Amino acid sequence: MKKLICLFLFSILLSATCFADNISDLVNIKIKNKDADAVILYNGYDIRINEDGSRHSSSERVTRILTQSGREEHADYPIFIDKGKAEVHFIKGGTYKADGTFEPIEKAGINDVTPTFMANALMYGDFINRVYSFSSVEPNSTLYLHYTVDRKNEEGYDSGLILFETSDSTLRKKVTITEPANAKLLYETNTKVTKSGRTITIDEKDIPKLKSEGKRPPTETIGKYIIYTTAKDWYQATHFFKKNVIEATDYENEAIKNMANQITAKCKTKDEKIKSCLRFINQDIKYTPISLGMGSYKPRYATETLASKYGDGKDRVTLLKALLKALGIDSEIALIRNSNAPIHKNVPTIKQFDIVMLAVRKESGRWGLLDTVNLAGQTGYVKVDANSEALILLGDKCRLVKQEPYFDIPNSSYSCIIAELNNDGSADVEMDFLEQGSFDSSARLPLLVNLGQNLKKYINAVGEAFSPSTEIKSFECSKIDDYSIPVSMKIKMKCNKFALKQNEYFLLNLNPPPFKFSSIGFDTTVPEREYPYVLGNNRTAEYKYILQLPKNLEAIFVPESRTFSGKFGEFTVTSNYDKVENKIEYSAKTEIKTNQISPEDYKILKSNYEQFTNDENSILILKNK
Amino acid sequence: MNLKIKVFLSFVLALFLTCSVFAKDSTDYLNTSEYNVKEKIKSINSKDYPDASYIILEDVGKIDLDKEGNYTDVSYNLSMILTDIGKKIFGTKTFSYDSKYQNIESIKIKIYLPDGTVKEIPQEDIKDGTSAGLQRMNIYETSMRVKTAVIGELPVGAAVETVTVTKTKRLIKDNYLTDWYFQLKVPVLHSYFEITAPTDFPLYTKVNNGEVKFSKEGNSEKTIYSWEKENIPQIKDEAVMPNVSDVALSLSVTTFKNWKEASRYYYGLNRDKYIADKAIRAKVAELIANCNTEDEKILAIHRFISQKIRYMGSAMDENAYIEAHPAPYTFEKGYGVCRDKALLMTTMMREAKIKCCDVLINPSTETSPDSPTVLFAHVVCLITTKDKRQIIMDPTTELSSGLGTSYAGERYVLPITADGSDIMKVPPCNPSSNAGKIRTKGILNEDLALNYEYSIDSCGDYEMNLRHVKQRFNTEQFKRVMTSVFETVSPAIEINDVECTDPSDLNTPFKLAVKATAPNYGTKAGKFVLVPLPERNLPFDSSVKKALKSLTDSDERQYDISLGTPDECIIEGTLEIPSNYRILSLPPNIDKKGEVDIKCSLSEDGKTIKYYGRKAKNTRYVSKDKYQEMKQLGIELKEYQRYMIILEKI
Repeated sequence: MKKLICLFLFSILLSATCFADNISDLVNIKIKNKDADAVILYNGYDIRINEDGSRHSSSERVTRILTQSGREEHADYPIFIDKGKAEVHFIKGGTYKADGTFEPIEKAGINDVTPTFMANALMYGDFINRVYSFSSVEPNSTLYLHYTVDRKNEEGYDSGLILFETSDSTLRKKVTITEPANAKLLYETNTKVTKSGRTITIDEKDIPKLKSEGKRPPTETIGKYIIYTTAKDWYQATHFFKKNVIEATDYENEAIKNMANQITAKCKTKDEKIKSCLRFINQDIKYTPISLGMGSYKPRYATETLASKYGDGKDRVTLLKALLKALGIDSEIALIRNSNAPIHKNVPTIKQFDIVMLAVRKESGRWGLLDTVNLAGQTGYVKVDANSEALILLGDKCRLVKQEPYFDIPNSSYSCIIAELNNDGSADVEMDFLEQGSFDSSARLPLLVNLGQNLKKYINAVGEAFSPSTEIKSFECSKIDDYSIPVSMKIKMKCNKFALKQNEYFLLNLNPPPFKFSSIGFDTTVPEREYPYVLGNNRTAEYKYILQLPKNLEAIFVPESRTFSGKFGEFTVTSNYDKVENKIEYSAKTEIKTNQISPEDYKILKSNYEQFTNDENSILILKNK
Repeated sequence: MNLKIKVFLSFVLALFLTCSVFAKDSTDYLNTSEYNVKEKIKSINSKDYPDASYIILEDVGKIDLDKEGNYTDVSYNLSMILTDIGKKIFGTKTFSYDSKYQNIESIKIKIYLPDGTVKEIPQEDIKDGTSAGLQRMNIYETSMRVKTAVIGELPVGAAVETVTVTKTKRLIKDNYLTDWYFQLKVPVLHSYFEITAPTDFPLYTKVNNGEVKFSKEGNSEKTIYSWEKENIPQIKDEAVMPNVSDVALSLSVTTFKNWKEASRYYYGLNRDKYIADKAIRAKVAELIANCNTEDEKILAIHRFISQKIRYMGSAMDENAYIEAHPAPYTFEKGYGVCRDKALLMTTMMREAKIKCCDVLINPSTETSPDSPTVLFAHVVCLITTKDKRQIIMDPTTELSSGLGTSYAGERYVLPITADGSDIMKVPPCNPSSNAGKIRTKGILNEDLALNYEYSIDSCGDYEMNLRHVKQRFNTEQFKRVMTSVFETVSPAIEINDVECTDPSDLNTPFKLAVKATAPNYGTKAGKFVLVPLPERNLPFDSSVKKALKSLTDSDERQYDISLGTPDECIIEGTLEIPSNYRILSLPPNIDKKGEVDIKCSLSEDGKTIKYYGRKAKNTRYVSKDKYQEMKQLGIELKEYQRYMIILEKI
C-alpha cells in the first residue's frame, strides 16, 4: 500500500513539473521489491526528426540499484553507435548514493570500446560502445544518466522501434516523437498516444518487467511498443537500398563473368547453376556478421567482394545477384525479419528487416529464397518461417510474399541402428544416419572441425554413448566438405555391454543416438508459461532400432506403440516384438509442425514430451528363456 | 685443371659459402623473396599432416632490446592452410597491443594462392578496435587494443605470410620479460627466436618441456641470443589435459636475477599507495568494531572488499601497466581490478594490525619456479596470523565466506614485500575443505511417482560456486533453473519447493534444499518395476565424475590428467519403496581409492534402500601413466548410470 501511495504521489509530481527538478524526489523513493535487482525509476526519450531525415534525441534514465546483481547489470551503461553517423553528447551522469551525495561519472569512466558482438564482424569500422561506468554503486544508490545523440540517416527518413518492457520493472517511461514539417509520422503502437501539434507522446507507468522465459517470441509481440517512420510508403522506405544493390551488381565485369562461368562449367540446368553459385559464396567468401542496417545500406561492388573474398549479408547477396545475372538468371532482393515478429505493413521502414536474401522465380511462378549465409550447411537450405513473410523489392513496387525456399530441402534427421545381440549382452552394431536441412548444418561443423585423427576420437565418443567399452570397427562418411550432399555416416562397432546384465536380466535403453544435432531439444523446465513458446522451424527427427536377440534370450518387456500429439506436432513410438524371429523393431519420431504455440498448448507439449521420454517408452528387459 | 682455375674455383666456392652464411645471418624477414616462399610452400604435402587444419612453416621473432627494456620486435610467420577449418581460421589475423606502450609500425600480409598468384592485403583492410574478451570482464581500458586484418576466405593450399614490426616502450622499467612458444596446436616446421641485447643487460633464460638449439654470440656492446627448433609436432587435444602453455615446448626470458628482485620491483611500483586515509581508517574501525577474534576481523575486511568494491577496470595513466590505483582512490570510487582490490585489502588489513601483503598468482596455469617474473594473471593477498597460519585471501571472490582460497592450493605465489620475497608454494588443498555434502530422501509411491527431498551443505570454493549459481537468478528464475538441473534425476521432475539461504549473506552457511516430485518415476514392466537410482546423477556432485567420464575416448594419452582443485562430495540418501514390492536387484557397488576416490554403495534395510557415495579428487594432476586406470574408472561410472533398481510386486 505504501508503495502504491509513493508511486501515485510520484506520478503526480512528475506530470506536473519538469523532470530534471525532481531528481531528489526520485532518489528518495523507497522501493520494496523482494525479487528485483534494480528498478528503472524513470526513462525519458525525446526524439526530434529533422527535415532531412536526421534525428536529435535526448535520453534520461534514473535507475535504483537494489542488489549486487543489479549493480553488475547497470553500473556500466553502453550506448551503441556508429561513429560515422552519430555523435553522443554527455550531459550529466553519476551516482546518487544512499546518503544523498552525488558522485559524478569520472573521465576515466567514459570509454569507447568495440562492442563484443562485433568481435567477429572482422571490420570494427566505426562501431563503438560508449560505456559510461558509474562509481560508488551499491544497493540503494540511484544512477542518473542524461545524454543526447545526433544521428544522420542515409535512408533520408527516420524510423525506429521502441519497446517499453525490459528485464527490470519501470516506474515510468515517457517517449515523445516530433515529426518534421515536411513529413508525416506514421506509427503503430499498442500504447496510449496523445498528440499535440507535430508531437506525439506516450507516457507509460508501472511497466512490469519481462519475465525471463526461454524460447519466447520477440518483445514487441508480448509487451508494449511503438514502431514509427517518416517514410511515406514502402517504395521510399526501400528504393535507396535497391538502387545501391543494383549499382553494385556489376555483372558485366569480366571478373564476374569469368567466375560465373568457371564455377558453373559442369552445370547443365538452371538449378545446378544456382546451387553452384550459392556454394561458392557460402564456402569461398568469408562472412562478416553485420546485420542489415548496421554500418550502411550500401553494399560493396560485386567485383570488390569477389576480389577481397569477404563480405557481409548485403555484399554476398549483391555478388550472388551479379553471378546469376552474368549467367542470364534474374533475381530480386528479399528482406526478412529474423524473428517471429510480424511485419508492420503500415509502417514502411527498412529497419524492420535485418536479413537480406535473394529471390528467384521458381517453375511454379512463386518466389523462392536463396540464403547466402548458410556457412556450414547443405547448399540451398534456407531456414524459413512458413508463417512469416518476406518483402520482395520489385522495380518500383514491393510485395510481401510467404517465405518459401527456392530449393526444397527437408529438415530432417534420420538414424537407423541395427544390432545383433550376443548372449553376454555385447552386440555388433551398425549405425547409419542422414541429416538434412538445419540438422545437416549442426552435424557438419563438428565433423569438419574433427577431420583427421580427431574424427576417430569423435566417432569413438559416439560409440561410447551406447556402451562405454565400444570398439569402432569401421566408419564411412559422406564427403564433409561437399556441401551439395547432406551429411551421412555409417559406423560399425562392437559394443561390449550393449545390454547391461543385472542379475539374470538384461536391460537395454533404446536411447536416441548420442548426437546433439539430431535432437530437437525442448525447454520444458517451467510448469506454465507466461508467453508463447517458439518452437522454430518445422522439422522431423526419427531414429530406429532393429535388434536381433540371440536364441536363448527373450524380451519380457517391450515398449508399447503410442502417439502423443498436440498443436506442436507429434511424438510417436512404434514398437514390435516378433517372437518367431526373436527380433524387435522400434522407432521414435518427433515432428514439429508449427513455429509457435500458446502457453496453453505449451502445457500439452510439456506433458506429452515428459511421457514420450519416460523410460517406459524406450526400455527393454530381456531374460534367459 | 690448371692452378689458376683451381684457385679461382676455390675463391668462388669460398665466396659462395661465405655468401650463404652471410645470407643466413642477415635473413631479412622484412623483404623475403617470393620465390623462396613459393619453394617452401611447394615442398609441403598435406597428407603428412592428417590432424592439422593448417601448419606453420616459419615462426620467427627477433627482438632488439635496450637497457631500459624498450625494444623493437620483428615477427615473421608463414602458414599454410590444409583444410576447410583452416580456411575459417585464416579469414582474419589479429594483433594485440597496448597503445600506451606499443606502436605497431607496420603489418604486411601476403597471400600465396595455389595458382601461384601473390597478393598483399591493403592497409585499409586492417582495422583497429578494443579487445572484446576484456570487456566481458568489465575491463574498459581503451589502450588495450587489437588490430584485425581481414583476409577473406582462402582456398585450401593457400599460404599466409605475415611480417610485423612493433616498437615497445618498456613495460617493466629496466627489465624485460617474455615467453616464446615453439610448440603450438598445429605443426611448426621451423621456429626461431632471437634477442639482441646490450651485453651488460644479461638475460636469464629457461627452456621448458624439451630442448632447442641455442647460440649466444656477441661483443662488448651487444650480445645475440638465439633459439631454434625444427619439425615441432603439434599438441593434440586430450580430454582434461593441462593448459597448453604448461606442456608446450617454450622459452622463458627474464632479466630478474631472482624472485626477490622481482618481488622488490613490484613493491616499488606500489610502495606509496598503501595509504590508510581518514575514510579508510574509519571504515576499518567500523568493520572490526564487533569482532572478537583475528579471524573475524580478516573475514569482515575481506567481505567488504570483495562485495562492496566492484570489479571493474578503466583507463589508467601511462606507466601504469601493472600498477594499482592508490588505496584511497579505489576506496572512494568503489571499483577496481584485482591489483587495486588487493592493495586496498592489504592497506585495510594492516590498519587492523593484521599482517598482510599482496601476492601474485597464476590461478589456472603453472608458474615456472625457475623464471622470475612479475607478469602473473592475478593478484591476491597473503595473511599471516598471530598463530603463524598463512592464509591466501582473494579480494575478487565476492561470495567466498570462509578463510582461504581453495584454488590456490599447490600454486606458486610471489609475496610482494619491501625486502623482496622468494616464490612460495601454497600447500595442497585438502578435499574436505572444499567439499559438498548432499542428503537425499526419496519415497516411491504405489503409483510409482517419486517424492524427493534434496539438500546440500558445502564449504570452500565448492560453497562459493553454489552461491554464485543462486546469485545469478531471482527466486522465480532459480526455481526454473532447479527444474532444469534436476532433470538429470528425471526429465519429468517438478520442483515443488526451493529453500535457499541468501547467497550474499556470508555470515550464514549457504544451504540449498529442494523438494520435488517425479510422476511415473518407476517403469512398470509386467510384475517388475525398474527404478533409476536417483543418486546416479545428482546436481552439484563432484566434478571428478565428469572429468573421468570424458577420458574414455582414447587408447593412450600423451599428457597428464588435469583434474583441477581437489574437492570432495559425499552423498547420503535413502529411497523407500512401496510396501507391496520387494527389492529384486540393486546396482553393483564401486569402491576405488587413489588419486581419485569413488565410492558408490547401496544396501537394503527392509523397504528402504540406503545409498552412500563419496567422490573425491585428492590431487590436481594424475600422471598419464595412470591413464588406463582412470579410463576404466570412467567406464565404470558411465555404466553405473545405466543400472536400475529392480523391484518385484509381492
